Amino acid sequence: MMKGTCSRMFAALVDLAEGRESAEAAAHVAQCASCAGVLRDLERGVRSLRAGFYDAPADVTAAAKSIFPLPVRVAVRLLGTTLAGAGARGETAVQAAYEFEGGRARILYQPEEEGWSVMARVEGEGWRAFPAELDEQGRVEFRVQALGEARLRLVREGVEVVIDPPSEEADASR
Amino acid sequence: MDRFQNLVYSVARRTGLGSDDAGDVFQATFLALYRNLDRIEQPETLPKWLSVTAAREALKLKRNASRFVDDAAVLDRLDDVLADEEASAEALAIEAEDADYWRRALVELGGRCEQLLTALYLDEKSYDEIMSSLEMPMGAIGPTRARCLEKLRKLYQRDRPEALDS
Repeated sequence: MMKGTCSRMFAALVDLAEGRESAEAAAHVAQCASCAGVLRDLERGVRSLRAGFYDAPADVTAAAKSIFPLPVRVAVRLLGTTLAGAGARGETAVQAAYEFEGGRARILYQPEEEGWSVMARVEGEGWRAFPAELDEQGRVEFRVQALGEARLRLVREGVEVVIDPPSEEADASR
Repeated sequence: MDRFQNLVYSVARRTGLGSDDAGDVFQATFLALYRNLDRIEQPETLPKWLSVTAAREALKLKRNASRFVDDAAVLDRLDDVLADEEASAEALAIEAEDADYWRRALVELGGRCEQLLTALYLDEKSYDEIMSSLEMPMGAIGPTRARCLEKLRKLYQRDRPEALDS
């Protein structure tokens, strides 16, 4: 957090980060460790932006995608949901159970101060989970900003299972 | 792949490769990923793995394309050349991964700030050009630029707190 002189100095720090001279800012940075850190961050940011970003051409991306065999997506059946108490923001946690070919999953979508915590337990052998990894007990946990982003993807030997959060319950909990 | 295409392609282009060669590096990198999927146990290590692999492929392609490889003296010190290349690949990968965080912060920033910072740093437009293209008074460009960079830094900081010095 920048205060007083430091906050007034920010524009000059940007000048320095861009390679322009600012005697006043240079003198301040020499005596202020906090602003010296901000300057290094700005220099890295400006350097990264100036280095440029390049999107791969569509045909190059398409050719690379063809390397990966697409997994077959199997159907998911929602066995049921239960409301599991109010969270920090007054929103309601939702517990849901799902069944699919080769496994089952129980997932708790829990509201937090900022965003949602998703905790799942997956039954069945050999699954890999995204966006986080399953532990040895088949559990996975991750956080998202909004409940709508709480997609859990499971992959095993060319089979893909996509579990989206139960939207009706999500709406009801708001 | 959509998530990482910019990261991998940018690594190749930043080594100075043209679009055709960068396309070859892109293909080689994702082919290597496909062959090594089982070895990547932690999903969060994937950006680093992809950047290092792309940098290695790009530097290898550049080395193979240069004439001095035929030089016997260079062949004598090939181990050193390869060691230097590996060090360069690591450095390139670290920069590329970091740059990708800044890129995503810029996209999230959006709006006028994204337009202004893109014009200033990526497109390297002059203040006169920015006045015209963004319809922004000359006197507002500097202060707005500083405010936008501070917002950008905060977004970056949120996603990568361990990387910041401040």
